[in-house]
Amino acid sequence: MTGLEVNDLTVTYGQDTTVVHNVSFEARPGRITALLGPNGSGKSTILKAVTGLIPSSGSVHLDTVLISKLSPRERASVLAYVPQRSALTSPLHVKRVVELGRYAQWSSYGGLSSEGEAIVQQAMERTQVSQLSSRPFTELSGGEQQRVLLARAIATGAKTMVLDEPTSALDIYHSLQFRRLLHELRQDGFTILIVLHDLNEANETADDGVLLLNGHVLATGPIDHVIAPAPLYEAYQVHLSEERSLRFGLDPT
Amino acid sequence: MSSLSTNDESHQLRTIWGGMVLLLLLVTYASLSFGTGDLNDATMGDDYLRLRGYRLVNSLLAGAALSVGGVLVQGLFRNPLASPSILGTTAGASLGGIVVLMVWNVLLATWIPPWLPAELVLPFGCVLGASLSLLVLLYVTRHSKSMVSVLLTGFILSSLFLAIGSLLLSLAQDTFELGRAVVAFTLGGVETKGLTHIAFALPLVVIGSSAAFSWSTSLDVLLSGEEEAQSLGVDIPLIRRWAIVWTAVLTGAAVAIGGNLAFVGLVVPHALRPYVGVRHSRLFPASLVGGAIFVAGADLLIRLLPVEGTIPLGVITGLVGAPVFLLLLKKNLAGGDFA
Repeated sequence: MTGLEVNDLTVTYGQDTTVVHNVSFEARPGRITALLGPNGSGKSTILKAVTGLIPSSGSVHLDTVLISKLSPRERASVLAYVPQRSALTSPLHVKRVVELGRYAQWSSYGGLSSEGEAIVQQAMERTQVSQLSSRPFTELSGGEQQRVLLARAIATGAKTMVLDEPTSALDIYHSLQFRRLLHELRQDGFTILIVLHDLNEANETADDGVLLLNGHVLATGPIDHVIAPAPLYEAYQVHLSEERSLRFGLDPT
Repeated sequence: MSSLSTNDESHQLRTIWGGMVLLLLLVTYASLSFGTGDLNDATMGDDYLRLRGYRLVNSLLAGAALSVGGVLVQGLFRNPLASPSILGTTAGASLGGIVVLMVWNVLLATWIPPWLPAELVLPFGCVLGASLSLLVLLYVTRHSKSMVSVLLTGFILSSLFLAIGSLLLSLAQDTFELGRAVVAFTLGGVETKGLTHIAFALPLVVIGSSAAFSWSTSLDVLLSGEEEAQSLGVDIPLIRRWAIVWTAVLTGAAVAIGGNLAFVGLVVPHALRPYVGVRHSRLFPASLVGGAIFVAGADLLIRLLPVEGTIPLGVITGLVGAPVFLLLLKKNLAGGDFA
């Protein structure tokens, strides 16, 4: 298990608008790697290119396998994606949404296998959405929806997960709850690549960081090397204060 | 759909299916009981019953095909406002049918063997017309995520195909037989349709509906948008390609036997969604039966209305469908779904 290796990733829109330039970094198993940078620096674009949702050049290897060589179903069973917000506007029940995480293993006319059913149940229990199973997804709060999307990603069975600002719309309680889930997945050996906007949150959540500016990598490495005065000033034109910021925590349950 | 326990949901599904089966039996009985001729007539009674049977089966097939086609395009475009008639697919199929009638009866008249009449080739023309209209629609709207542009393009295509159809219709008036055939086909209706129509439409409807049903899970995933669906393993170009093929097959089959029946694919799935939910594995079979009941019921209504002459079947489906479409449009606009 070597995790994600991104080499010379370049994304160009139209004829000549390059938004990501020869980006290279690694995301290792059992660690959370945060993609950081100001608005428009290319964080979400890189995430989508890594997932194969938009065309790009360069290479993305997952455990030495070139992702672009995989079929859509093969890719979905090794790499799970959690969007910032789901585009689902139909009242599908929560259980069905999580079940659809098993799509890559599904046959046209067959239902879920008993193994698949068990995986779905586990994913729902792990993210504490079992009690919501018969509720329409569209009636859930933002925090509940994000937990369901994480359950769907876990249900894919993929051990690598990419997440696009999953906590941006959540309050502090749900944000911490989500972070706790990510830390549990990290302990289980998941490779996690996450786009984060809030540097305090990145500092608390991630082990490694990739700091971007205008589609270029400014700094990469352990999170305390990336969230450091010099690269932060270059990226955001702000000074890093040594004063302690507010710290929040959940009850230790 | 509100939050229901699994038991409540199963009960609701059983109730709706029970109701639909009952309605289907009622429509079948009434369709065989009412119509031209006396069933007690010693010499003609059996023939009358047989003709009513053909008419009924043709209407059931046309309704089922259009309704399943409607669910398919609604899944593809992720919008309940999409339907074969709104997107110009029905008009495309109708134009395809007219072109076949013209080509067969005028250009190739001396070349065609007598065992290959235009009626047999007509469904293929309809399927081809429906396919071409869907391909043009998808090509024109390939860069647009707005449903308004999809609907407008569908409206323009529909108008264009109807205009070309009218032009061909006026040209066809030069020959009496051809003119009659084109007018009869354009007006639609199942009153003159027989066993031949059932023979070619039934396989198309069975294959098209089964294929559509096999895409149920993919279409469920697609409800989350193309990006999420792709990340979960859906091959978007593949599903788009096959959705076009099966929508064209279903619409083509329906138009070949029933003509331009507007709004069936819109009204039926819309009416059923609150009761069977948005899962395509439930919506497809329910819409198949619901569509069959709707068109057979509309055809029955034509026979029961106390008016002189025959009202075209498409008029009834249009009168019911247009207000439903306007209500849906209002709801979508109010919900900001067209942003």
